[in-house]
Amino acid sequence: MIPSFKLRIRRIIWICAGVLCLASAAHADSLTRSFLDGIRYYQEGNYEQAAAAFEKITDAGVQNGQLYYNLGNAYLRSNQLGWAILWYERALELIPEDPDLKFNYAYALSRTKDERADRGPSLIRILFFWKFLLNPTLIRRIALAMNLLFWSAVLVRLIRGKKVLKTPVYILLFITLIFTGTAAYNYYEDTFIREGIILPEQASVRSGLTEGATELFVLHAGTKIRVEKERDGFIRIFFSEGKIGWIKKDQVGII
Amino acid sequence: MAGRLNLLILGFILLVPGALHAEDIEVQASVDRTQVAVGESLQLKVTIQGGDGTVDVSSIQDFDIISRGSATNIKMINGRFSRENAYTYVLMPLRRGELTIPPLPVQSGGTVVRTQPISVTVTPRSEPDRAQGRAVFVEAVISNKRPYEGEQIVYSFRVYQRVQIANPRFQEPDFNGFTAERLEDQRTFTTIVDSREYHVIELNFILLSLDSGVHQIEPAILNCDVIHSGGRRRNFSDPFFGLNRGRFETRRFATEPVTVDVRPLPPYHGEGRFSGLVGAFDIESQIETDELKVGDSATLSILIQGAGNVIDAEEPMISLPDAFKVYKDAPEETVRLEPTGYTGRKVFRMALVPMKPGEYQLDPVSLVYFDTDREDYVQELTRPLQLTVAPAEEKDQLAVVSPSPPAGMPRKDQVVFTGRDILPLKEDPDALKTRRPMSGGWFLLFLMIPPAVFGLTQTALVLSRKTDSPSRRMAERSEKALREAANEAAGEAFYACLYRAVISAVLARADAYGETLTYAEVRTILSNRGYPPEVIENALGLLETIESARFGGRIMDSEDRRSLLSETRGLVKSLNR
Repeated sequence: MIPSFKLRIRRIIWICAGVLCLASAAHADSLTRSFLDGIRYYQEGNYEQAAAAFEKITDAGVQNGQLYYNLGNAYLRSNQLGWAILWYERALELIPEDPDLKFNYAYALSRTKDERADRGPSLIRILFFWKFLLNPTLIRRIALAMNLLFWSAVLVRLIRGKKVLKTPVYILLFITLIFTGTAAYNYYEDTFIREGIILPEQASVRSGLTEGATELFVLHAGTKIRVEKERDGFIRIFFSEGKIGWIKKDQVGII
Repeated sequence: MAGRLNLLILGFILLVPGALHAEDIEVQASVDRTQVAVGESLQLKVTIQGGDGTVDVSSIQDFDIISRGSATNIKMINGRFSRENAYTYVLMPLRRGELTIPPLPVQSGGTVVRTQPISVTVTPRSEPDRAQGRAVFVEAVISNKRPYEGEQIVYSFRVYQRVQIANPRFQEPDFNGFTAERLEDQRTFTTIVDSREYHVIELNFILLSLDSGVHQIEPAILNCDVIHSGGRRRNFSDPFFGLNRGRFETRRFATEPVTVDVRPLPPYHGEGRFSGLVGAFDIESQIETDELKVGDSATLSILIQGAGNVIDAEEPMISLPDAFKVYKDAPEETVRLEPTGYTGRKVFRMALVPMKPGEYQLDPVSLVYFDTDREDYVQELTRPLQLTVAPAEEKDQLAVVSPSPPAGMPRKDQVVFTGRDILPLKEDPDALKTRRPMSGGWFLLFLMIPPAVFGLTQTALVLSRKTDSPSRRMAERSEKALREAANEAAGEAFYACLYRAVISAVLARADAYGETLTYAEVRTILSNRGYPPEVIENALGLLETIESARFGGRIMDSEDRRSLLSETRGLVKSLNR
């Protein structure tokens, strides 16, 4: 007996769904295997293999702070300081408050050779201290909470009459604007300001876009720089006031 | 006079750009010489006639651009202004042979004009050796070409000069296979080479090999301007070297590459543990006191000092009697970088607290290092130490470790790191799930929810207040009274309904509750609301008719009542408009 057209379509849909489920399960299995392999290699002291196993997972599109932290550890153990700091930086964007991450990141930073350009207190850092003191996730949460409180207070004023909660409403409005503005600026920074990490032991920053261009200064593995533009396989970087130049693209890992 | 002068200047400012813009752009590239030797520089000049432009020199691959500058000239020829921009580059050939400066694109406004290509012949150096007397030359010298793995060597870069040099730009080699530390102080001295006196500047680097094998240290480069006294300057005026009187020549000097054969350390078969130190070291031990009581502490210091990788020294093996408790301090290190390399000391301190009385001997502490002079492993031993431990005076002091704690208060020490390492991996399978921070869109959405809720609440409140207003309630009441009047067959109730309908309609206009109004109040309310006098008079007349019928006993047939009802409806309708 020939099954009806509707029945055939339904059967095809079920088969497709089954194939997708199986493929998804197989994919998840492969990622789990890579993860367990990475941990095993790390514990056996094969740090480069551990990093390769963890990177398989990130190549599959997984974005997770704990995974990035593991990659940072594996690279740090295999003496690739630049790559280690790059992955720690990426992890910090996802799990900025993780104590293990902060500890290991501080340890990795202690091994870098170049003094950080933003070490001294600047006027911006003093005026907008909360931006540098609190991580972007916390700033977002505070902005949302303050926004909720502000509108609740305004609602109470509306329902109860206009003479209540006048001062608290103004205070809440001020705090809400401050944190919402900071959160918006953080989004702007994430989207438009690119930062990178120097990957090799040392990298020459040159005056032009050729290998033969004059070497202006040298940066070492793990140093954080700002990426200004890209051209012909080179990146124009900004390290600190007055220290800019061109560096080969493959010597910088974009955070 | 001053006003005229200002007008002239203004005219000049306004006319010059127009006159310049009217000209066509002409681009020309030239070099001061087409034949140079390796290490010599040449100057490239790109001239833009009749305007300004941007010169793209990124296509120059065979030369190193070591400096650049620009100049602008404005001339007036036959009443026309002519502007000339000159961009000057000092080029250093990167190899010998027939090299080409390719056509360089010059962008001016929306157009791109290219210069003509220029061929340059780069010959080997003409000076064959020092005997002919070079004015300036450089060399790289290594203190030991066959060091052992871990042995420190000195790399010296020397500049020999018989003439003055300016603007030196030193490019140190990569030192692949070594860790390199540059000595801050440079050495200067005078020496005789081939019967000529040279002033020498020496830069020194301390190198420590990372692994064994043959390593080549690439040439070190010095770019500088050599000042030749007297004589004329080169072909065209050089904007970089402005006011000096001598002739300047930008030169590049490179040392020969240096090959270093790093030998592996020979296998160690001796007693004791090899410390990993390479150089010349000695070890000493010292105890604070050799007589103490049970519970007291004495500091034992082990000092390792010498020349070499002293910073890598680890705590030596120390065997102590079981009767001692040991509290270790963080090692203290003092390392200096000297012309011969790293020298310094590392001190390991520990507090020993005896728990039992008696006579004790502390065994010698061994240090095995590789002596680079003897080319063999050397074992150094400290002298044995004797300790006499007397019983404690009071038994309850046994637990006290610190020298002088305040009565009843335990001593508090600052917690310091005794080792540095990273924390372990995160093994939670949650690491396989993507966890992104909140996106900008979601943040905006969450931000908009409270004001949206506020807006909805406010709208609802406004609507509910509007429903409860006196105006609305009275208008509804007026409508209701009209419906009741239509249903009433006859009698006083009919007129009461009509009266209520008119009064309620008027009160609705005043946005007030009420049951009755005087004629004067009706007039005031309606005139205040801007109704025309005929409407007001109509309302008052109708009210009078209704009241006279209601209270005066006037008999109205059904036709009259229908007419009165219709008239009242018309009035209410006109009041509601």
